[in-house]
Amino acid sequence: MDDHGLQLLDELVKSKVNELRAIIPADSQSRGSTLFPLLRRLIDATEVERLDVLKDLSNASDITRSVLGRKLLRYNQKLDVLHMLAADYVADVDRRDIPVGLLCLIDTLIDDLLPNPADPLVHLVPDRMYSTLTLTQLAASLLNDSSLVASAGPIVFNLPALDPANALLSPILAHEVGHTVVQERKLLNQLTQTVDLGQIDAIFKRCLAKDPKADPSRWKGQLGSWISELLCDALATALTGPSFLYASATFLPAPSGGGLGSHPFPAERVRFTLSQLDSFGWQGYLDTHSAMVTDWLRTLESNRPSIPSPEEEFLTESVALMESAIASIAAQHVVSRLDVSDYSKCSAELCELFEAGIPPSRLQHGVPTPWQLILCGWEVALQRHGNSSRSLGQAVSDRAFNAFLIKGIELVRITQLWDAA
Amino acid sequence: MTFLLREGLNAALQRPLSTRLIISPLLDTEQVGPSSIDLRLGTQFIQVRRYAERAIDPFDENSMGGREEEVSIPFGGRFVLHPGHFVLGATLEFLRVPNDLAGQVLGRSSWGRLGLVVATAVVVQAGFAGCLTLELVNIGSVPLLLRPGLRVAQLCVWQAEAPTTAGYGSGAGKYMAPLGPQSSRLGVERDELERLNRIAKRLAGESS
Repeated sequence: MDDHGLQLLDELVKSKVNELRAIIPADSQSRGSTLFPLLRRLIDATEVERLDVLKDLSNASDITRSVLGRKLLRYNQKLDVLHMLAADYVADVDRRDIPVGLLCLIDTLIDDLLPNPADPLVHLVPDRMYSTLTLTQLAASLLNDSSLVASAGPIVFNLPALDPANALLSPILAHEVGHTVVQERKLLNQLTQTVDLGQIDAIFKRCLAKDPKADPSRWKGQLGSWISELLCDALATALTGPSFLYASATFLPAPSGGGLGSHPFPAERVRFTLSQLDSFGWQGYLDTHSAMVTDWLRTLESNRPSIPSPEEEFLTESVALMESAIASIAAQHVVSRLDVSDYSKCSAELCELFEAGIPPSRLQHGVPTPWQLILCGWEVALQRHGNSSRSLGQAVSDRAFNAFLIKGIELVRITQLWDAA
Repeated sequence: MTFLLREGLNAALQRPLSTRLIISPLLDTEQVGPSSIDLRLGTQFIQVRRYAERAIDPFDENSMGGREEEVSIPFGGRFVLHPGHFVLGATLEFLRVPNDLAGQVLGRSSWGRLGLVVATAVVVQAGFAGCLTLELVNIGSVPLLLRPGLRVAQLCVWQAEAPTTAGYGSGAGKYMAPLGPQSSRLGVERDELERLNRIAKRLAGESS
């Protein structure tokens, strides 16, 4: 690289650093603001590296200049990645265009599921999808720097832009936060210590023999992914009870077959969730309050292909073997499971208030939890819309009712904060 | 009409659900004072973008289009109200006034002395349900720091001799169960505008 090229690169890197610095505010305590120190640290590191290169350039040989030039090119690309992170997320810090009830719901999820406090950032995405990601992990992967994983940074809640605050679908968010729990708590490791790996291996060998052309590492990867998804389902079910069944059956949607991918088949997931709910004592509740919906969901299992592929056979048999261990490990990591007897103590009063159009805050038995509120929301919505598969769709698309629930969550959370202060 | 004092207010708050005066949440029982119930500032605000060019025609709902901005401030956050600035806020509490009660919302004098005007539409109709919209103006000369949860207003309550059969919620009320501040909806009264226009034309004809 000649001197002109080096000078151009140096100028570009310098101006990009200045551009990034200009959009990062001084220290802030707002929601999501751990993004700023993370970005600042990465920019500062690049700037130190640039200055080192400049120092070395002054008396460098042609070969060294070429190496230094490549370094500048790398810094230039690194700054483009930082630009992307900043452009995507800086405006999300302390955003004020989303209902407070939604922020309360996210705070509740963090309190109930994550082992350590987390700094949430709400990001609206164009696809109708829910997901979470830890920004330090994203930065680590984009910048190829694994040391970043341990850094402090926000957890991003990606929510559908046109309907971010759908209370009845919010149990899906519990599943998504579950991925962080699985990772931070190393739940997959815990599971391998609990189950009989010899049995899994036997299934693996038997199925693999039926398909000699199969890629064994792919199968194992798929199994890890399926187990991870089911752990997240189990965490969400323990936390939100039947609400997760209704929400996931609607969101997936339950009857969709889907190809053999990183997620278990929707019908398989519904069956697993139902079995977990039964073990938690929700069967009577489901039969009383959503008999038609539950009956229909229980029949979905029969939609599975009668002759599964060897890979599918391996996956479904393996997860079936681990099912109870998955549910048990997940339940241990939920701070306060939605309990059927606790819910039954407050459900009549909650439903009465809902029917009267009053967002509840204090009840005779104390302040309800947001998850009790959401389950009651499903109960009232299913009752109102006729307790059929169609009513699941009608419930989630009832915007006024969902706004009412989000307001209720706000009031409940504020009351909890007030009482605890 | 009987003006309710503390005992009457507490009794209204304890009635069976169908006729209860609802204040949700009542964070602190001390909010019920000798003759009123303190109400707190909520988390939602509507502010007008002042750089918009056209004047507001209250009878043209479209004239507010794009002019208003909704802002949510979490509990624990703060909202700066600058001198002369007008915003719509709402009570933190969801209220439901039964058909035999009516209320009046007043600012608290402690805030008034700092220059904060809290409410202008002071009557709370029998049968009303929802969060009350507060018209917040800083008429002082220094910015005021507002926080959701602050006790900024008070509700005085009167009891009628008999309940109305057509309370606010039973008819075509304009602000049915609002969950936050509501903008002016004078435009809904279009028939009145047309009548006013007819009168104006007739008077113009007579004078020419």
